[in-house]
Amino acid sequence: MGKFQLGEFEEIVMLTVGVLFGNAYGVSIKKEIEERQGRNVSVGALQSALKRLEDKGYLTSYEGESTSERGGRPKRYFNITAQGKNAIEETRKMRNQLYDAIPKPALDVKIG
Amino acid sequence: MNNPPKIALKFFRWFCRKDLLKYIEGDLIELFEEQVETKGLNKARLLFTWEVLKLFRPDIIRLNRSITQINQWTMFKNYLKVGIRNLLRYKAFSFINIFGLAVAMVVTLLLILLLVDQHQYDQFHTHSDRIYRIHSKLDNSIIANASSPVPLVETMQNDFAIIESGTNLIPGVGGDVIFNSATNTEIRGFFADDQFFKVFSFQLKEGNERTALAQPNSMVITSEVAQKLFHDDPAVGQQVRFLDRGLGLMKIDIGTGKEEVAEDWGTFTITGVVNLNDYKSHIDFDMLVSASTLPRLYQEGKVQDRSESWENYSVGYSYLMVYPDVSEAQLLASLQELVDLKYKDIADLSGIEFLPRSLNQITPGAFVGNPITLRLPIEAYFVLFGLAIVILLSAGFNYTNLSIARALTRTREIGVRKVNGAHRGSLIFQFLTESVLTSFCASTMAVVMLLLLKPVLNALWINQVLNFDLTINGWVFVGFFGVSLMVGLLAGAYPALVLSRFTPLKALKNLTDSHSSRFGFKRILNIAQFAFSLLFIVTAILIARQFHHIVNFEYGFSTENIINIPIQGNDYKLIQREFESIAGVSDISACEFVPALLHTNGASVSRAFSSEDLFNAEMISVSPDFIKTMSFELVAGKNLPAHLENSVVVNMSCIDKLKWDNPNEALGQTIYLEGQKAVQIAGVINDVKFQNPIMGDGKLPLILVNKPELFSFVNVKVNGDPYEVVHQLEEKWAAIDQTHPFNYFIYQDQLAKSTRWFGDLVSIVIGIAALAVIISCLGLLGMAIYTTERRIKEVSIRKVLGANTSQLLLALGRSFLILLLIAIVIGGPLSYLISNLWLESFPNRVDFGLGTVAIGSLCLLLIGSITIITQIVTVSRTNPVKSLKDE
Repeated sequence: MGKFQLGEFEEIVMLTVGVLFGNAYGVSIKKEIEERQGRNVSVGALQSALKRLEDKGYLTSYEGESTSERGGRPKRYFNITAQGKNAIEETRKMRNQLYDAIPKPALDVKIG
Repeated sequence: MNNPPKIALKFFRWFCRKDLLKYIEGDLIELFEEQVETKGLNKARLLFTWEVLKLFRPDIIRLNRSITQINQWTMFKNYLKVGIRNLLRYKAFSFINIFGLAVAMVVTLLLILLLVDQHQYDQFHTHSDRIYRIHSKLDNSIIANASSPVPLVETMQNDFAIIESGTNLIPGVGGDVIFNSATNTEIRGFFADDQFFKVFSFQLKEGNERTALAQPNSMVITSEVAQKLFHDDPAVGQQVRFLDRGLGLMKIDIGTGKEEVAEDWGTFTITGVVNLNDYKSHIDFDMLVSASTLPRLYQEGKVQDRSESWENYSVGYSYLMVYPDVSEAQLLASLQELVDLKYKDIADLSGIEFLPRSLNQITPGAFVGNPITLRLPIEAYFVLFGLAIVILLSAGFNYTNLSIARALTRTREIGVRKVNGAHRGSLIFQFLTESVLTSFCASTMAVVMLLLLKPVLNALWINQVLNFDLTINGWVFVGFFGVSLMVGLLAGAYPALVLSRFTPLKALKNLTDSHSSRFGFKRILNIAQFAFSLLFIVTAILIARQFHHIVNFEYGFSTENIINIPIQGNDYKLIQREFESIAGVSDISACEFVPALLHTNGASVSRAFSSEDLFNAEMISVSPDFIKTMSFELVAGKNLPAHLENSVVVNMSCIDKLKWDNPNEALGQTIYLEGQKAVQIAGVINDVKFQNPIMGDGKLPLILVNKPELFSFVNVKVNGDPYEVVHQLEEKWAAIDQTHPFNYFIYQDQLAKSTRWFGDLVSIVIGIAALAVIISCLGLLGMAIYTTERRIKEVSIRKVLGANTSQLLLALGRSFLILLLIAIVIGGPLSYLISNLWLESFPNRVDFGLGTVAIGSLCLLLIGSITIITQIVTVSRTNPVKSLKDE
């Protein structure tokens, strides 16, 4: 279990990369997260998370096309690796197990 | 197309990892373009910069960690391990290095302690950065005075807007304070105004700072005085009587001063108690008397009124507190304005200057005249630091020398490391690690040594005066850590550079025998060490001789078995009558001040009634018996008459100065004091040395007069041990004076004490000389061990071929002998010159010739030779088989 360590933000980045399948690069991931989560993501935080995930082997990247609106700089697309897939699955499984283990009455909270 | 901020982009390009740069830059630009559309150019530029700043984080920053990062720590551990192994393997060398450095560091540590202690002075004042003491400096003098005219503070406060507050301290209060006419203690202090506690941040243990010094006849005392007077009872509100005896501020009492008659200053109310032990300040006192008391004392004629006197710059200390943001230069300009205003009509003082000295720079500070408390001036620290650095250098030389000498034993290691890919940089780092390791070992040892040494140092008499507090605190450790690190790096720098230069091929083939040029460098270091040592030895011998000369000074009169008793305002005749009845007392006399201590009293004398041809003589008022008590020899004429004040007795020097050939010619002749007061010469005595040997050789013209009102000491000569008579004198004293406790000084002790600081100086210099010599000899020993070990085979072969010990000594020791001789040739004249320089400042000095230098050189030669010979003899005794059979 300890083999797949994913931080909360790392997990969100992984999942977003999955969601944007084939179109996951810096700006698009940032926008997707901001849209879905309603929170601000700085380029720094995102890039360092991507860097860490790539170092762990959960993501791969390849150089994409360069466009004029990017000042001629290429995009860098990310894909989930097999190991990355294991990691998010493992994390999800663990979360579900925990959720299932909660006794019913504990969740039976009336609002108000 | 809009441009993102250039600086931010440049910065980003500078720090970002190369592999990510173009992608992230693309992202940033894409976002920027979008935000220009939605939020406008300025906001977008701002956001861009903000994003760049947030990118400045470990994962994104480019680091040069290609190779070094991988095994820096591991390699460092390896260096440490190898260093420790080397220390343990060559124990003799390690001992020489560590011990030598430790000894040198003790001296340095001591100095750091002193400096840290002194720097803590006057730091507790809330506004210490804007309080200045005003020094006055006369046109023709180099040294400024700590004091300044009394009206300065008030005038500055009224006329210049930059001054927030100011306070005057007027010394000249010292005497006995009496409570309930029973307990009585001696106290000294200042007149201080009600601004005192506003300017300075002393806090009262009892009483109110704002009102304590406001009312006339108020007195603030220290907890020590309060304890003596009231024990544990509250002090504030108590009434005490104060008798002033004009005692000075300094508490070093060796009975030199003129005792003044006690004057009743009336009743004072205690308004505050301050615990001075809580504060480190250059201001030291037992009590403060409110300055508002002064008008009454002026009126009664007990204190001279100088509150309006701009001429007298030596009676008060002025402290000014400027408003925040007022610079020292502004204050200086205002003071200059004041001088222009007040001194335009005072011709004598036209060139006077007032100089502000920040409170933080008083202790330690430059030498000033008229200081409040005696402190070592900053100049003295420079001298001490010079000495410490010389010793530290000497110990550092040892390390450098021995490391280079031993380089050959480590060539293989260097070769292997290089072949395995070590850079020159990493080898330098390795050798520096070793030297710093050595220096840290040394500093640990130094701290231990210092802890053992501290009680000895605290016992030195000088310390009682200068009051050093040698507690070790955090700052000391910071300073000391820095010194150790620096010493390690400096001592290791040269060996590290030399050793790391070896090429692997040469190092592994052991072809580095071209060390003759480096030996030249080592020699220079050795010679410098020994030249310094010679200088120290010569200085030590000279200063010890000078001390001997002073201690065994021939005064020309008897100082044995004499007890000097302060009269304390009593009638001399009464004391004489009482003391005469004691069995062991042989002679009793009285005098104005005790001769040959630090107090002097000059008078100008001439043969004619005029202000020309005056010369300076020492004049003292004594009773006629004085000549007998002190065993002066009456050469001609009679003693002083009992009741005639215009008769004098002079000495032979005085007769010479007055240009009489024969003392008999002078008898009955009239001479003039200060060019006007006529006195007759009644008798002539031999030339007694009436001066402290530190101040001069005592060849002074001397005039004795009989003015009983000036007497302040009774001299009692006893048969046998003076200590046995003392308690009988004390019993008699109780009948004469009930107010003042009996006080006495044994004359010979007084004389010894007056030269005691010199004795301390002698011990310090001798100590430093010994350290310098020990360190140099350790270095020499190290070199001798190294050389003999390297030449052990040669020695063995020589022995096998029939050489005896003395031939071996010659063969091995010659180069060291030459080295010592060169050091003596260089150091001898140098020490002669330098010693002559400082000896000049002693008015009463021993003869100093090349003889002393020769003795010093001989000492050095002897110590050096013994060091080498012991090592060579040890080696030459070993059985040649042992060293020849291996390999």
